[in-house]
Amino acid sequence: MDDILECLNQEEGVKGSMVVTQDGIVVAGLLKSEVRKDVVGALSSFLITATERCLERGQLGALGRMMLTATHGKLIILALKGYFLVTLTDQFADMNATLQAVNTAASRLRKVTRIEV
Amino acid sequence: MNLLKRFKLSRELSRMEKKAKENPSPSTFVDLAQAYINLGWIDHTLRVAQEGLLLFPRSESLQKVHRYALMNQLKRRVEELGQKIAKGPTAELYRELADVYKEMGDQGSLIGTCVECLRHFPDDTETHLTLSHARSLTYYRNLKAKDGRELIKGLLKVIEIEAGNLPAHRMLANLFFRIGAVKQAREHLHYLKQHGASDEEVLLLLNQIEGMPDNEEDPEQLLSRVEERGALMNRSLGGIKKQKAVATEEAISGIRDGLSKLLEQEGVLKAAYIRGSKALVKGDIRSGKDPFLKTVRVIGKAAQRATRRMDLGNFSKGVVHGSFGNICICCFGDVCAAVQCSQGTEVDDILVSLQELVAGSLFVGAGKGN
Repeated sequence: MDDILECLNQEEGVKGSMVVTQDGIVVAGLLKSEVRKDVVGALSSFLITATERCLERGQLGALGRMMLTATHGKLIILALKGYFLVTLTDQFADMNATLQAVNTAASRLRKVTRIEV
Repeated sequence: MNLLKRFKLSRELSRMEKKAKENPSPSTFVDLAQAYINLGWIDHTLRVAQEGLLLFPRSESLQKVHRYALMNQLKRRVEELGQKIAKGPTAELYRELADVYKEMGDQGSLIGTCVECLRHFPDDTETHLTLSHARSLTYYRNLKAKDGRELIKGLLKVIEIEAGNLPAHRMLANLFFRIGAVKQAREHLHYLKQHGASDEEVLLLLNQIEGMPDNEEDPEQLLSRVEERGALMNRSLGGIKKQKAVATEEAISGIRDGLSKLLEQEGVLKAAYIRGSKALVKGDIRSGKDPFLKTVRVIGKAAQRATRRMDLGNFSKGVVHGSFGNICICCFGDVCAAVQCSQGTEVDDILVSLQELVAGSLFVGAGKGN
């Protein structure tokens, strides 16, 4: 799993990536030193839970992917059946290229992992 | 704790987590948070309180738990940073500690930390700015000339160290404007304009001081006059903005047009413009209780909170993709524009339109009062 994340982190602009469960437990994560793994894990879980709850209550359907752009960086969260791939990038990252890398990593993760929640 | 106890505990906690999710109420969240407090698991307490507050934002008990968890987390951070500073003080560590005190609302410790940092690192402009910001809050609250003098001295010191420090020029411009030192405020505002920092705030202030006569008194005398008077000479930027931001009928019709144009784009099903508790909607939206509106509000707020805490800055736009299609959101402050579109819709153009809509509505709001 670390190899897959490391490969994803090679992509230009990617500051780190991690696999988290919905309740914020970090399964694996490789983030640059200035980013705190536990903080990103907890906040990703907060975002995922809040979004999924809203979608569920509004009977809109399930969350597949979230892409957020902020002043100093971008965040991509991809749902992978019971767990999530979270990728942090800087503000200059090319979203299309990063998204492609994220999808590749996700398909590799699906093959190698199965997390029971 | 032995294995059996740990097993029992984790089973009980997951039961309580499940209960809170299945039958959400302030008390189920508070019970769960209380269990985590008893275990000393502050991060989990905070998470549960935040989740609860998202559903029950007015619950006083949840707010109390949230405050408690947050303060404990911050206290823990203060201890960690204190130890690090004792081992090897750096300006960054002091600044981080000052930020934590700021979040705790402990103004005295914040100022104390900055002063101590400046004793070790007298040329650290960032700390000077943090200290000036803290002092500005004290000054605007008490209007004591002494605090004002300290504030001006600190900001001028920053400019002395780094002439092109734009935040210092900005703070000085604001302060001079508010105490009525028009000439000095103008100098700093022009400096900001010349150096490419002429944003909405600078233009607004320039617009305000245009035509104002220069005050004969120097800032020192003006500070004393403000103290005697017990009130500042000019209103805050926020006050000016608020007055100007009252959207007129024309502005609202502009937003409606923007929403209609968004709806004309291929695949767009619903469009909304949300400001605070009010919303303008177009498309397949039945009422104010439409789940789309609630979803947009919740995602907007959650994204704003998460990106700020992850040090990614302010959330500006985002796309949520799922079996429902795409929800595109663009936020600025308390203004939020969003659309729901079907699967496979090209979202790049939609995001650009949303940004234009938000930016346009802010511009109209700010410009109307002129």
